[in-house]
Amino acid sequence: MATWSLSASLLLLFAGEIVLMSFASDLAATTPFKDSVITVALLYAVALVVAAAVITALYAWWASERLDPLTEQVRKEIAGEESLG
Amino acid sequence: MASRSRGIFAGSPLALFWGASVAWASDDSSSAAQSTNRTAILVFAAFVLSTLVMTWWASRRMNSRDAFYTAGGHIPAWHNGLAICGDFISAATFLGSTGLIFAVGYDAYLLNLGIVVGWPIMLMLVSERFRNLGRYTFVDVVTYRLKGDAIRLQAALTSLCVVVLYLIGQMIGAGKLIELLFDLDYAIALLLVTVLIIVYVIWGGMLATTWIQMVKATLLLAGGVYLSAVLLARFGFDIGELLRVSASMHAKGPGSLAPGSWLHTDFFNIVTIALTMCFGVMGLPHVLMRFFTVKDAAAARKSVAFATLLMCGFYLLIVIIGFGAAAVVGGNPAFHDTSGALIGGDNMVALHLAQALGGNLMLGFMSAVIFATILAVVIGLALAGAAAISHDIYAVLFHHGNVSPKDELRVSRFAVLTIGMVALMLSVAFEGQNVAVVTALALSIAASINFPLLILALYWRNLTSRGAWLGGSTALGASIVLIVLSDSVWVAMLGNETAIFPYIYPTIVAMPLCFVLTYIVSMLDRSPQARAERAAFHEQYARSETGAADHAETRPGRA
Repeated sequence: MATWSLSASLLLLFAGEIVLMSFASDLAATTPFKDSVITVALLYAVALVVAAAVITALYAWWASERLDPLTEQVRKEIAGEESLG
Repeated sequence: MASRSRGIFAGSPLALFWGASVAWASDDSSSAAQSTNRTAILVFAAFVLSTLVMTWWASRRMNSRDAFYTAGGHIPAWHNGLAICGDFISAATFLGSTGLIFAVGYDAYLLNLGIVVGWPIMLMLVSERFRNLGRYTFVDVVTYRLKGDAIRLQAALTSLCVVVLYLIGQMIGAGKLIELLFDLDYAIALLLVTVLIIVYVIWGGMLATTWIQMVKATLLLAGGVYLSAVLLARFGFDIGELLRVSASMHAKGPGSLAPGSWLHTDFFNIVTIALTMCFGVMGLPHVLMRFFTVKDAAAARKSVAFATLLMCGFYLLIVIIGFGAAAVVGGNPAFHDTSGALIGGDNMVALHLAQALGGNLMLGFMSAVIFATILAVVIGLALAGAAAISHDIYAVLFHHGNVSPKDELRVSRFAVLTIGMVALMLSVAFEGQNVAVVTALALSIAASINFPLLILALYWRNLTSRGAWLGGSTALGASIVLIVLSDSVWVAMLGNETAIFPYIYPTIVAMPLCFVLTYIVSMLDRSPQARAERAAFHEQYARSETGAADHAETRPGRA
């Protein structure tokens, strides 16, 4: 479940980038900081890369902590059933 | 033709992967301007020597079919992660990305963002299941429960198509790069690359390939970090100041920092590029093959996670290097010819930047790193191509797995030799030609056919061989037709005024077509074979989740 929700979140953020580029170019070109040329588009792009990295790290951590022990338990159960069978 | 090709590449997303070769091919003055660089030759020679030693070392451990295809599954996760990074990031990704940002600004970064989003999704949805179900290749996984020769042949051919098309593009780029950097004749440069590919892969197999890709990834990342650090230091570690100078020097001015200067906010163009880049990642057989080089699914996941994190970092560096290049190289007459164009074309900007920041020493180092990068990518492709021929087609399709490992290994080596020679001949034949068509086709097949079939095979119970075959074949046909009707063939090669299909990548049409047709035909398929394939899903699903019941004799392709 976590895999699908995290994937969907990332795709949603990417869809935001597509919408920003296609339909909100004025907003994308806005410079939110005074005396700076850094645009909303640049901030969004960098945030998207950071989000991808964070989601990757989160998933890797979650899978190691939660998924692997669960998988191991299921494997043992399957092995047990097979030996009984 | 050459100048037309250059124009197309300079302004197309394909410049990301192959633009460099055509730009250089069309600019003879750049060859004269770039004298042979001793540092480059020294670093290049050291790289080749050390990789040959690695190959010799690996050859002493390569005593089986498993060792040849997957290094016996003994590669540590973080080694594999680094190698995946080395396998995926091609020289043209580095040169093309920075060159395109330098030329058109922000819009170019969409290509990188697609990749950055694609990798975590592959990590979460594909990596572990893929490792649990397959043994050597992409086809093993797609056809795990799908029966019949037609679907296996189709999957093997699309896999081989992606690999060979990619290989040709990379080889042409390699030939031009070596010609430019080392003042070698194009054909001799290609011959050198081919000989090295054959030696590395035939004798070193996956183990040598992995180590070469690791070394290359380390060098490329180190070079990228160095360039970024020196660039930032030049602007007092103030990214705002770097971007301000970049905007003032950039050909597109302040507009370079916002969308619109290249894709002109065209929704469909943006979507097709995004789809191709994001989902194409998940359909590249040479990258997917690397998941089998580790001991289990958890290790595959860790290696993909590590590779993804490295790539996220790398693509952040690309922003600094791309816009930094505009700031440093953009207004520097030393890097422009008399007409005001950048010497060697826009894709040379990263190398110009290296020279501007670190002199000939840095230029030489980066040039050699770029060569190492090309070599690492092409050997990965050659190995994946050999596996498609010897394992998917020869062993499993023709002999239904009844082939001795020794025999399959012999065919693999012969396949490497054949692929090397074919790639050499095609690369010589296509010198100076617009290779946009082959690259567009490769990426389109990966995103529009391989990805849908892989994801449906992994997750959708109702998928049948007939559905997959019809969906995949139709999408392949649609991709070819739409590329012919697109700018890269219809205008650039056939000389028409405007393209009938206005987008370079046909993914926006071909990918939904593949999904929809596969769905409809699979749902309508009431044959006994379809029932058996649906019934086999639960066993496949359990195995893909847990890796349990990993009985060698029951898995596809086991001989």
